Amino acid sequence: MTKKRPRRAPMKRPKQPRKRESRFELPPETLRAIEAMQQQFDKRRAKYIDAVARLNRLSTAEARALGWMEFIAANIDTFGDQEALVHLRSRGHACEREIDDVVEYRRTAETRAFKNSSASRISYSDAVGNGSVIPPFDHTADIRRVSSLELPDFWGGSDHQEFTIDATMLRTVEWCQIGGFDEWWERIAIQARESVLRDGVNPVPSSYWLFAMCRSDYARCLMGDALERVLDVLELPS
Amino acid sequence: MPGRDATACDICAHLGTASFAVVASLLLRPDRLNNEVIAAAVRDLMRHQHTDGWWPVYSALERPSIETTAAAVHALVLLKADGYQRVVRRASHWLKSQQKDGHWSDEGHPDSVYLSALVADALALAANESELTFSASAVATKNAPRESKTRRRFDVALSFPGELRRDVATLARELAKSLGKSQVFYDDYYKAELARPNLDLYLQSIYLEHSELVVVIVAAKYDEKEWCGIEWRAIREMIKKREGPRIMFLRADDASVSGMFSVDGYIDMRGRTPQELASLIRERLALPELT
Repeated sequence: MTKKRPRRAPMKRPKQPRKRESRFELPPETLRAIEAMQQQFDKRRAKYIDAVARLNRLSTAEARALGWMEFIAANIDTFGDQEALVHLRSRGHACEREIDDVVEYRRTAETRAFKNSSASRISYSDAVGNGSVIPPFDHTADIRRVSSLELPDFWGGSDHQEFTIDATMLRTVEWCQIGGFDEWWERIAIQARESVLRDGVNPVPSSYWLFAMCRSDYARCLMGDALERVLDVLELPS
Repeated sequence: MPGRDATACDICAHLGTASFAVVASLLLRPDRLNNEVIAAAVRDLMRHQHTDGWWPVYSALERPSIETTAAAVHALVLLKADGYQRVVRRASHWLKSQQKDGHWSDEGHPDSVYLSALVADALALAANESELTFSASAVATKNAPRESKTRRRFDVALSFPGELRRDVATLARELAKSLGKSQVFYDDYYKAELARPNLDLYLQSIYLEHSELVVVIVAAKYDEKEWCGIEWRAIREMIKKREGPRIMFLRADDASVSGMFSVDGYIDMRGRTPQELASLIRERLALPELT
């Protein structure tokens, strides 16, 4: 009796991924720039992970927070990060190098804001010259009187920082004794007064803004009256 | 000042706004406080703190908010509201437990640098430290004389017979996790402090004067045991002084104890985990009669 060999199922060939052809290719210099950015990001991330591992060995929450703030202040990347500097200064740290970096960061951003202020804007005013391109603003402009539509703030933040970023700028000014941008801060105060009168006060969102501003001594001096108007609305019976 | 969406109903309080209004009032016009508004805000805050120490954004929500909790600590400490120390201690302990990798972050809320600076100030205020990112000196002088009438060293003191030590040790650990070890009087945590003459009197003063809530874990012959008997005398003195709200009975069995009657309410420990018991104790601590 001959045993029938069991029939083996035919082996399926593994599917080879079909090579998809790119419709367009990035220029080599762009690819190199992306790779450099990726390397820089990876390096920074490794540095952060290393710092976090070290501070996680500290025994108290306060000490760990201080260590984290030191790392952020030494690697300021956004305007919001300047809160770390405020924290360190309030705890008696000198932070001289970090303050110099912040001043430089603000100057660069201010210059960029001036440069961009006239981008693609054509004047329709006969006084300026109808059809002529409006020249960009510069340091000679009275910033307090220029609308933020024409000359936007040189700082900004993410959506989450909407109610706090102005306060962070003012807190950094007072704690780091940063001069030279006073008209910008005065414009914040002017806009706050105008906004309360023109737009009214939406209690919940305004309360976040008010709280952040009240935690700045400079803001309380600069626009205590506007802050009080917002508080008046919060105190109205609902 | 554009809008942050109000996602909750009208009938529940926005606890962030309540805290923000108190802080703004104290910092902007400490001489002209709107007492009605402040009283309402403090009432909302005291009423809606979760037993774990946090506050939600809206009173009706069951989700903790780091930002709201830090703001509430600002408000209660700057105002020195009656009974604020214990409330703030719990909040401070919870805030510390939320730190990850040296910072605080909250889903859908301000960036972690802003939030961490805010929490660090809240912790400093809770610890009565003067290093803050804003000047609170004007507020401090206006509100300095108001001291709380319920400032006691411990949140909870545990009185128990030795046979139950293993269970009580677990319960103490659970309580320490949420209240902080320094807020729980469990004798094993204070061996060095208790190694002294006249310990009987010292223990009685801890139960009578230095603890917000005395949790009595009753089991057979509790009152006849040497050390329990001493503690039981202090507890009966509290009952005599009508300080019943400061006493909470937990029963490990059905044994009768002289001085304890069928009209006395208790929690049956049997069938309950230490986590459940700790949660019930925290719930009791949060009642207004103790704040």
